[in-house]
Amino acid sequence: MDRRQIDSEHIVARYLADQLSPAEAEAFEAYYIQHPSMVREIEYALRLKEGLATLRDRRELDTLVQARHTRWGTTLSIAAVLVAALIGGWTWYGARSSPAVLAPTMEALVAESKLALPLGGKYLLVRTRSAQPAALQIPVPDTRSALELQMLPSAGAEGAPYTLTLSRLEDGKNTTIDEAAGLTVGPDGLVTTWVDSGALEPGNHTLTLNPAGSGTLPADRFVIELVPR
Amino acid sequence: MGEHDVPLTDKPSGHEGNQEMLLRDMSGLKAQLTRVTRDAELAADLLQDAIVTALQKLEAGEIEHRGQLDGYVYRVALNHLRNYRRKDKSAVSGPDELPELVDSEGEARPAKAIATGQFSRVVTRLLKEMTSPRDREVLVRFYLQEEDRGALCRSLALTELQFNRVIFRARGRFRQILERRGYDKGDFLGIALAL
Repeated sequence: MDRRQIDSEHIVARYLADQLSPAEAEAFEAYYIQHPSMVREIEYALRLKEGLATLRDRRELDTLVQARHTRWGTTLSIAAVLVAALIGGWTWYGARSSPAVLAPTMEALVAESKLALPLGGKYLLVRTRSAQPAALQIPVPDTRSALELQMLPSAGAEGAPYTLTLSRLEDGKNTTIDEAAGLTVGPDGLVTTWVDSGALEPGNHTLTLNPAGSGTLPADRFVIELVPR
Repeated sequence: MGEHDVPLTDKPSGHEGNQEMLLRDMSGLKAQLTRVTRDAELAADLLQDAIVTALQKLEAGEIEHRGQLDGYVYRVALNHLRNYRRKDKSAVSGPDELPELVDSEGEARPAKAIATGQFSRVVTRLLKEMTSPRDREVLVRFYLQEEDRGALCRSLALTELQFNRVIFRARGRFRQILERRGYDKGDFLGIALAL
């Protein structure tokens, strides 16, 4: 068992729910004894379960779960931004029904949540094709923010529209967090994307930029290391 | 904080005198034990039993590294939790078997004083930030109602990627809120064990 499997198969939650086979549970126990940071993940999951259970006990949970967020925006400018987001990010946004982690524009990033995210930083990612590329360190903002990431694609404008995949990198393996399609190349030759820092955890992540077409143009891979500020 | 870096006081081990150690704050574990047993004292006993069992393994040289002590405590305590969930109380050892365990800092320690009510406040904030009712439902049905994820995905017509996105985002945000409120930094318990 490795971290990728633990993340992708939600092992912590399933272990606490007694949903693992005896062999899986034993393997996970061996893992977290060897990796103390995983014990913290277990403790966090227990706190989440306890918090939910307490709200259920107080009969507050159903109201919170069923609540409708009815913020329609307080100014016309917000409405205009949302319209722009719908137009600019329509191809990418498509059938999404949960808030995005990645988006081609800041407006599209907050279109679902309707939150006004501050700018947490702007970074230009350096392309590398080495087997062990150096990671660009990005401090995770103290408050939930939008990070602007720019990439220079090998295939240039010819590769557009691009699809970008954000994955968590652990033990050399990737677990996909989100994908954004329909990314275009700006006049500066860069592909820009926006990331919601609220969905990120410290550690290494990869961004894979795939050009349109079926493999005739090269994909680019960027590695970032999110570090606590 | 990386691997193997639980800050244990590095004193020579032995059977004479007290051995001071630091363990992670286990508020969530203790709260869940209390919930399942419906008895705070019993939950405290179970947790204490887990700590003592782990320390005995450490003394016996069965634990490679002191940084692994937390893991052993959780493994034993979570086995107690599972046994209670399964209504199998025979696996729980009696308090008479426990060596003397003294909490060196007392019950008034700030980190330990975190009430489970504070977890509910963090979860309330998390739920309020989750704008999609369906995502909130996913979180509750997966973590609280412990529904099988495959059945849950089918029930809500979710792809694996959509399910992962909801859970990763919620988990990461919950962690951020906890850390920002100081529920993680310095959240260790000191114990002095007389063996």
